[in-house]
Amino acid sequence: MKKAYDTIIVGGGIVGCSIAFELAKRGVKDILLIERGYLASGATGRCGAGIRQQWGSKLNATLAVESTHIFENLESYTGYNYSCGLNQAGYLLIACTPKEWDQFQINLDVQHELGVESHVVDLEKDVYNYVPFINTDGIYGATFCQKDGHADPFHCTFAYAQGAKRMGVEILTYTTVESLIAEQGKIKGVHTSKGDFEASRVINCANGWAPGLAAQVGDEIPVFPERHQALVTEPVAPMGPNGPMPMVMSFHRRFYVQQSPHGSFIMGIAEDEPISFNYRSSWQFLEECCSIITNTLPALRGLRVVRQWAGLYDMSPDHCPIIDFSKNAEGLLNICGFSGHGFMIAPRVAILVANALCQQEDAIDIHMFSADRYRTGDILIEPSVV
Amino acid sequence: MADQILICRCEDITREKLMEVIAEGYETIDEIKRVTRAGMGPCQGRTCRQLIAQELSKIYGVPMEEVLMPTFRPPVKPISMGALADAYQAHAEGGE
Amino acid sequence: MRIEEHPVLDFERGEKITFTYNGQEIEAYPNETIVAALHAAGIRQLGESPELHRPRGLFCAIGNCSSCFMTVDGEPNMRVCVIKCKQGMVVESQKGKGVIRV
Repeated sequence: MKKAYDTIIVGGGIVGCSIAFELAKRGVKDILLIERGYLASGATGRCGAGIRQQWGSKLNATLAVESTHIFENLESYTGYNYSCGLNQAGYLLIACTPKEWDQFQINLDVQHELGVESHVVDLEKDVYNYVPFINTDGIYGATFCQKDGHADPFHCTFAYAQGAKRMGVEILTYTTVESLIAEQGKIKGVHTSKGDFEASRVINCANGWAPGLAAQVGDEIPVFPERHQALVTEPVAPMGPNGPMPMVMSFHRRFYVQQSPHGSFIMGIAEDEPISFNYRSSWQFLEECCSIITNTLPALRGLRVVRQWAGLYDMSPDHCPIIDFSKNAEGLLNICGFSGHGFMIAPRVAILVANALCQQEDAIDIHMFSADRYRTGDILIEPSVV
Repeated sequence: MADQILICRCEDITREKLMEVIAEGYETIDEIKRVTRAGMGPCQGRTCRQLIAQELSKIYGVPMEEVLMPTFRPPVKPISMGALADAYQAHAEGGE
Repeated sequence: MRIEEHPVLDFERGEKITFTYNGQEIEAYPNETIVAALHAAGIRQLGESPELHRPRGLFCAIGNCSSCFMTVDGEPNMRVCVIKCKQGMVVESQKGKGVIRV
């Protein structure tokens, strides 16, 4: 550990670790990544880790498609010695109202334009080829994309971190960044539970804690943390037609459920939650989640739940991430607001950020993610989120 | 031979594997769990958690009380989705 | 082998019943667990470990671990060390992960 670095990254989730990797890959030296717990102990390690290309906005679909390509080769991309667990069993999205179904048709057009191989699934016969035991009552239509799936969020984060370390990045875990140090309109470093570190560039990607840090220098980032809960079951033999059951997701019924290659099912629902940093578990979630999901998938009634947990979605007003170059502390970059789909777009976002910081070309304009968009009205609209 | 002793029976993680990942820099039960799956099986660490803690206590020379424990989460024993779904219905219908 | 005489306890075994284990008929008493009946019948290996396929027998014997998983009357991943025998139960060992019958 030195006293001064070129770049300090606050937050060791998929966003922080992938940015560290991409910066180091472009030759940036003297990078320090600081994480309050163990890597991926925050939102990344608590998420459903779903990866889908079936988005409604061209922007999100592009970010997801390009990130999926990286996930498909993440082990060789980062030189990682374990599997990152990518399982492309597909996503079956079910529409439960006519309005939802109409939106799905529009989404399909957006996806097809980008080459995403998503398609309608016939509910009379075809749907049972994807989920043999689904209860189709109340379902208006469904779409499926085989390349959608999920990965192991820990291994993916560790893959980026190990790759970054190999290129000289230093990683400090179990260390909390307590405050930012800024002087005369410039960022100078951070004050942590293990001492102060200097840097002229600080990347703040601390999920729910990011706005609080940013506020210390006067940056107003309209992102708020919200608890979301999830559960995992005991492993059972694969329940899909040829492997693990694909992800089944409904926006209207507000649930997602998938089977991992290991055999366990991971699932969650959206609940009415206030703004909070609440990581605790509730029995109400367990009951409601199981009720909602066994309604659509009655065959899962026999599955036993072994653990539940909670994590935070960092919610932005338009459910799209904020990447904001601070005007109050030059050198500070605030990144947060992924609103529950950060994992699946992190690889491409990391490239976008690293390109911008290293003055390299990128087809996407990073400035569209600025927090200014809420003042100018150029918000990014996404119709399909759980 | 000692290295083939099982630490996590649910996921078949041997002591040899445990030592390997510790050498790779994964130092806490939380990290070891996430990189090997030790503690993620049906018994959720009831068997292996203390065994891993014991190994870490030896390696780092700290008493067991100082080994960082992972978070304990519900349910204490596995419970079927059907039982939970039925409980939800019972509450919804005005049960206790 | 069962304990026939005990210095303190009197075993109320009840009437003999039978259940099947992988098709084989096993004699049992209603107040004992499936695994007790299997042990009495000389069956010690209850399954295989999930990844390394090592033979598994009893470990905790109190429903805490995952060593004795079997499928009972079609339900997978049952901890037979804590389940009492019933006449006509169909008990099957599992190879690999338990199968949920749809």
